[in-house]
Amino acid sequence: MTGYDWDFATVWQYRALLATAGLVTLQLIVLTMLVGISVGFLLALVRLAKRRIFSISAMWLVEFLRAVPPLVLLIWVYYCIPILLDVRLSGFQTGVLALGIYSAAFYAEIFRAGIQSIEKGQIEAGMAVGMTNGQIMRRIVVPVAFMRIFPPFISQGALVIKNTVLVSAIAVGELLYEGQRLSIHTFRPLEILTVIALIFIAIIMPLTLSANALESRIRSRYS
Amino acid sequence: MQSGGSETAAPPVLSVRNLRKTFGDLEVLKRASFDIYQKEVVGIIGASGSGKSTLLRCLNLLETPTDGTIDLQGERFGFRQRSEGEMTLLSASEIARQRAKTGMVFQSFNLWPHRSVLENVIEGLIIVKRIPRPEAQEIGVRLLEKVGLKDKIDSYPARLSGGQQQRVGIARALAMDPAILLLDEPTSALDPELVGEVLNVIGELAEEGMTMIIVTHEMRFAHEACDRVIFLHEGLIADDGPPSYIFGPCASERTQAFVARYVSRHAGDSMPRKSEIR
Repeated sequence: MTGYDWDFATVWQYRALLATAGLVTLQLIVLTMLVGISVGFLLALVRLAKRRIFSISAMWLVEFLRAVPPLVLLIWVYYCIPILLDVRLSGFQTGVLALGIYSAAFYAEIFRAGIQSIEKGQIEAGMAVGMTNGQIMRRIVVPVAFMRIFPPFISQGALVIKNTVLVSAIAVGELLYEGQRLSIHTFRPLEILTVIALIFIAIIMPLTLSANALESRIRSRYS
Repeated sequence: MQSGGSETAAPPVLSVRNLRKTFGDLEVLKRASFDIYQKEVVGIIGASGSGKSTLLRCLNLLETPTDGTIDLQGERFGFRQRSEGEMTLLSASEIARQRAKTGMVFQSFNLWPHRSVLENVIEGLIIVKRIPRPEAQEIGVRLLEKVGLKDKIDSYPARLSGGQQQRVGIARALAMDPAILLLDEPTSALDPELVGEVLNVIGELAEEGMTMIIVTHEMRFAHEACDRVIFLHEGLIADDGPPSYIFGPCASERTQAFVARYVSRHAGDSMPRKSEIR
C-alpha cells in the first residue's frame, strides 16, 4: 500500500473496549428486532382488521414511520418523548424504542403482504376440519406466509442490524460510537472503521447467506 | 318433491329446512328443504350461479345461512334457539367443533403447501381431535392407502398431480370421521384424464356406505353413482329424486332441458364407465 501506513496493532490494543461495544450492539440488535417484529406483527393484524377505523389508523402510522428518516426519528424521540410524556429514557432505551418502532413499520408491511398472500381456500380447509381462528393462524397462515416473506424478512433484519449504528448520535456506547471515540484518541480512524465494517459484515453475511440457502430449500420443496 | 333414501325408518343424518342465503340484495338460495339419510349419496346439479356451492358451503357453515335450519344427527347447526324463538349464532369455537362433524372436499383441493401429504391428512386429527401422533399417523396411512397414495405420504402437495392432490383432499376429509362428506365440484379443476381416478375413489366410498353430498357437473357420475339427485335452479330446489327420475322422461321440463343441454355440450368429455366407478 502506498502513502498510508496501516496499523491494526493499535486497534488490537483496544479489543476489550470494542468487545464491550460489540456486546452493546448485539443487545441493541436483539431488542430492536424483538420490538420491530412483535409490534410489526400486531400492526399488520390491525392493518388487516375488518373495522376500517383500525386498518386506516394502522396504515397511516405505517406510512408516517416509513417516511421519517430513522436518524431524525431517533433524535426526536430522544429529546421530545421526555418533554411530551414526562418519562426519562436512557440512550439505549431510546434507541431500542425508536429503531424498533421504525423497523416495525417495515415488518408490518412484510407481514401484511405475507398474510394477504394466503389463499382463502387454505384457510377454509382449516375451518373445514374444525380448526379455530387461532389454530388456523398458527398452523396455516403464519407458517405459509413466513415461507413466502422469508427473503424480504431477512433483508429487513440486515437493515435493522445496520441501523443500530445510528444510536451513536445519542451517545450510546455501541460499536460506531466507541469506534469514533477511539479514532480521535488514537488517530487511527481508517483502521478502526475498517474493523467495524468487518464486524458488521461478519454478523450480517452469515445471516443472509444461510437465508439464501434456506430459501432455495423452501423453493425446491414446497413450490 | 320426492322423499329420497331407502332407510326412511331411521331419522335423517342431515335435515335442512327453509335454508336461505343472501349476499346483499342477491338471494342466492331460496328456502331449500331436504333430508339426507344414512348411506345416501346425493348429487346436486344445476347451472353456474344456481346456488349449488352456496348450499353446500352453508351445510358446514363456511357460509352463515341467512335463514332456515340445519340439523346434523339431531344437533342444530350454527345457531342456538333463544326463548323468544330468536336464533343466535353460536360462538366461533362451537361452530368450529360442529364443522368437524362434516368433511369437505374442495374444488381446488386446498391442500396446505407446507405440510407433507401425510401431515395434511392428520393435521385435523392432531390439532382438533387431539389424537396422539402415532395413532393419527396410523389412521392417515390407512386412508392414504385407501385412496391409492401410500407411496406419496412424504411428498409435498406441489409435487402431486391434481388428481393425486384431490385424493389427498378426500383422505383429509375422511380422517375426521365425518357424519357426512360434502364434495364441492371435486373434479372440476382437474384435467380430463385425471377425473376418473378421483371419481373412482368417490365411487368406492359410496359403495362402503359413506353419506355424501356431491355438487357435480359430471352427469354420468351423478346418474350412476348417486342414489338421488337434486336439481337446483335459481336458488330453488327444482327437482329431487333418484337418477332414473331426474335423467328420465318424467322429470320436470326444466330439469330435462338442463340435462339435455348439459349432455349435448359435454358429450365429448371423458367420463369413467360404470364398470370403472363401481
